[in-house]
Amino acid sequence: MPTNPSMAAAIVGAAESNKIGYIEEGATNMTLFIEAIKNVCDQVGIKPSDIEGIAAPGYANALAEYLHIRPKWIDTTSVGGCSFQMQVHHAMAAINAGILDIAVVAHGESGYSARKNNGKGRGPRPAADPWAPAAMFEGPYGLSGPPSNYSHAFTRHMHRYGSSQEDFAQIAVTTRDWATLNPRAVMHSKETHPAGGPITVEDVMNSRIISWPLKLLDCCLVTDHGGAVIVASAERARSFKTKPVWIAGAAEAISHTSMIEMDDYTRTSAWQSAETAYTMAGMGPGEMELAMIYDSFTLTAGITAEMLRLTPLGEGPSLWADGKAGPGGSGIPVNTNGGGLSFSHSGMYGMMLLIEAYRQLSGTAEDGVHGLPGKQTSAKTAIVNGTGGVLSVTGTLVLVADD
Amino acid sequence: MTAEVDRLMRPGIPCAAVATGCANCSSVAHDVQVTPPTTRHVSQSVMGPVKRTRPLSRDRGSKERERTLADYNKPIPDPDPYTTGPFWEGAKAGKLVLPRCTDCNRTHFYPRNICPFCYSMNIEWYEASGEGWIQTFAVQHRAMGGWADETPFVTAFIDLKEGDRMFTVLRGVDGNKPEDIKCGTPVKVEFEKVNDDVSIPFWRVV
Repeated sequence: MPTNPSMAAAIVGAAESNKIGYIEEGATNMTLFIEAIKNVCDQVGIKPSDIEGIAAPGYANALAEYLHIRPKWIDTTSVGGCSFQMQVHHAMAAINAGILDIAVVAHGESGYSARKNNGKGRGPRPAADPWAPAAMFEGPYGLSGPPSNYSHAFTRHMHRYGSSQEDFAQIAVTTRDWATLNPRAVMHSKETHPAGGPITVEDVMNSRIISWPLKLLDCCLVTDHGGAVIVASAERARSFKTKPVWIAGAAEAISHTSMIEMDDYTRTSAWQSAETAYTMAGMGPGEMELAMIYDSFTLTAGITAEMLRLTPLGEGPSLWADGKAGPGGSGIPVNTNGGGLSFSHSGMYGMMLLIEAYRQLSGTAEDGVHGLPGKQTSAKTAIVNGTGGVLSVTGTLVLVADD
Repeated sequence: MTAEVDRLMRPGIPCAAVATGCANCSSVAHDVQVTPPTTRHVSQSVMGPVKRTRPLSRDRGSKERERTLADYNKPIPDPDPYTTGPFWEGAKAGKLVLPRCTDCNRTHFYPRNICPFCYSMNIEWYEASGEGWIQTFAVQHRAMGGWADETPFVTAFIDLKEGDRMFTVLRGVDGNKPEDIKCGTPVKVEFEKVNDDVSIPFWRVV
């Protein structure tokens, strides 16, 4: 008989690669993966050979070989930045089914170094298929990567709801305030980056237009980053050196692959994945004390806030307005690591969401890795939503602290 | 017309391989077509001669092709003949030719070998009005290749009068004045010949 997998598994550790951000000496996907897995195993107090299941977008098999491990559960789901939320969902389900007790979900992506290394070290990348629908029917028209796609959703949101570029700019401003409490954030300060924190709405509005209405400071970074979390069964979750953070709800959903097939440019499938995750958890948006929301762009975070029912439809940016979601703000804290907008974003940002949610709910956001005073919140519950592709795929988790 | 269209859609698949079908080609793709009275079918004249002097593939390297490619320095689609052939044949003739399900009568785009609304596999092609509206748009200030020379240009998703959606670079608008462009504005299709084999649809504000 199927059982509700809520609380059947917990995240028991979360760690990054030794270096993240703009790594001057360079890195490859594999070096970042391995550093993160090694670090999370040390943190939790296990060896890689104790891992029974391995999940990594496009890399699970290569990692198993590299580490000489023989997992009995392999998940190489690769659908963009929410792959990690989905893999935690899958791991929880497999643990609930009794297939395994300990899985690692890992990320390694040399988004910054690969540019210097002519794409080498970035892993196998399938050649674009000229016969793919998007290649035939979007390819001729000058799109150049994610910003050039997402901007169309921004325009539609403004048209439909009367929202403004300034509304969304506040998301970048408030998120940058969190970066000032995270010394590992690329945009921690003006010393670490010309656009480092703090910034103003005017700074965002005056930054270079990339794909109108998206300006440079509406867009995430492109960095090197590795990260890993350990997911363990309820039976094992309290047997490690670290605190468990419980997976109360988990879900995933897809609405399209290419934007030509996106029915409603103001909504993502997080509407569906959030509802499923809340239902599994037996909790609602009003009970969430922290939100980790994928912010590839201010637009992504803004409309996702609506999909997660944290604001009414059309009012997503209001979650951040006037610093409400920032340090010491009057609303729930959002993206307390500084977000993909100012902390780090290697291409698939979902792992950074997981790691920060783990740190916040395990009470290690200040001393875990270099969080400054004021970064640790009192949150005991969190909603974590990843978005992959071009607003295409979502994975949502509801996490709960152990105490 | 459908016999020709069907062959274009599935070149290399012998008609005899299909179990049931029409007297002409044994294809099942059109033997249960329900044609609404208002339908304008794609005719032989629209589609042009059935015999194609060359494959649609661009991997040929003739001098002629090199010359035309040099003139048009932006990405040229390499059409999949299995599911999209009639669209591109129509485009060459300056016609917007779309796929439609003969069971539920809904138009879908991009073209498929199954109706994504009712899952019928009975698909026909017809000439559409070439009219639509701007669903949403963006202004590209950064682009690669030949498009880099045309920034800022406006890209848009177009809601087709017959249903479903296409993507385009919008014509008849000024990328420096995005506030003058409105979602919902009517547009009409036009085609640009980019080489001997391929014409590309663009949409223009009317």
